[in-house]
Amino acid sequence: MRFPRKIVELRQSSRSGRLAFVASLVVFFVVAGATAALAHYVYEQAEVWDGDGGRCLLVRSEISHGNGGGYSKGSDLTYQQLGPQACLFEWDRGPGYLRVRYNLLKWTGTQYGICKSVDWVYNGSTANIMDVYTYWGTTPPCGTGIYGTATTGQVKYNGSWYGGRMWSGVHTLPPP
Amino acid sequence: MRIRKALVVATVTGTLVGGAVGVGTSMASIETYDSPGWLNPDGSIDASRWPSSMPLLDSSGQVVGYVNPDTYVNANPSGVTYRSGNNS
Repeated sequence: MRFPRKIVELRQSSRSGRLAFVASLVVFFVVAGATAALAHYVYEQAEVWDGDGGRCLLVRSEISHGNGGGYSKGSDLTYQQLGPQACLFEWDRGPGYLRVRYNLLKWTGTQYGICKSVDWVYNGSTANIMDVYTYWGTTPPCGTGIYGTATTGQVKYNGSWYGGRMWSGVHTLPPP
Repeated sequence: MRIRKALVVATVTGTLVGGAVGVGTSMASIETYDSPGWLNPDGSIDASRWPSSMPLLDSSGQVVGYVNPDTYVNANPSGVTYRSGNNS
């Protein structure tokens, strides 16, 4: 089930079937004096697990400018059914029941390669949303180019881990 | 399915002169890339096509080996945030 969220960010779709698109639009720019500031980020979010009893996990994966060298964020969002509407209400999970890891991938011209990988991070307190993020510095960690974040998110339920992976879409680093 | 896409990179400069905002020179370049072969239409990753081995890049972007993307680690997170409670 695709789950609508109250999201105000402009998103870049990475849906296939579009042969070409103008991506990574400059979303906001602020003009102050003779300087220009740009802010932009790209993400995808979808339900990756719909368990029995109306319990769901959404995973979000994001890439953005950060401090010039890029910023990755991976998120778990857990929901449950209360009444007839499935996966509408937050589902708090205790410490150690949510986990996220992600890879920063770069397009080499022929394939995607791993630039950076972050190991599993577990929630340390009760939560229904856990965001894990990394600022990659002031310069892209694997040189100028096209980057994206591949996030794996999981939730523990009845002793087993459930979840899936999301791709953020792509972003040029450093930002123009 | 791999789809060739184009990423338009634009630079816009703005100036503020006498209270009026002028958007000045812009330049654009086009970089092309393929959509990942393991990508589903909704942005999720197809587990059956997600590779067990991927190229590992160095700081210049050169391939220096191959690693398992699900177990390889070479970085730490900057931070973690949590939210809890029913705040729909």
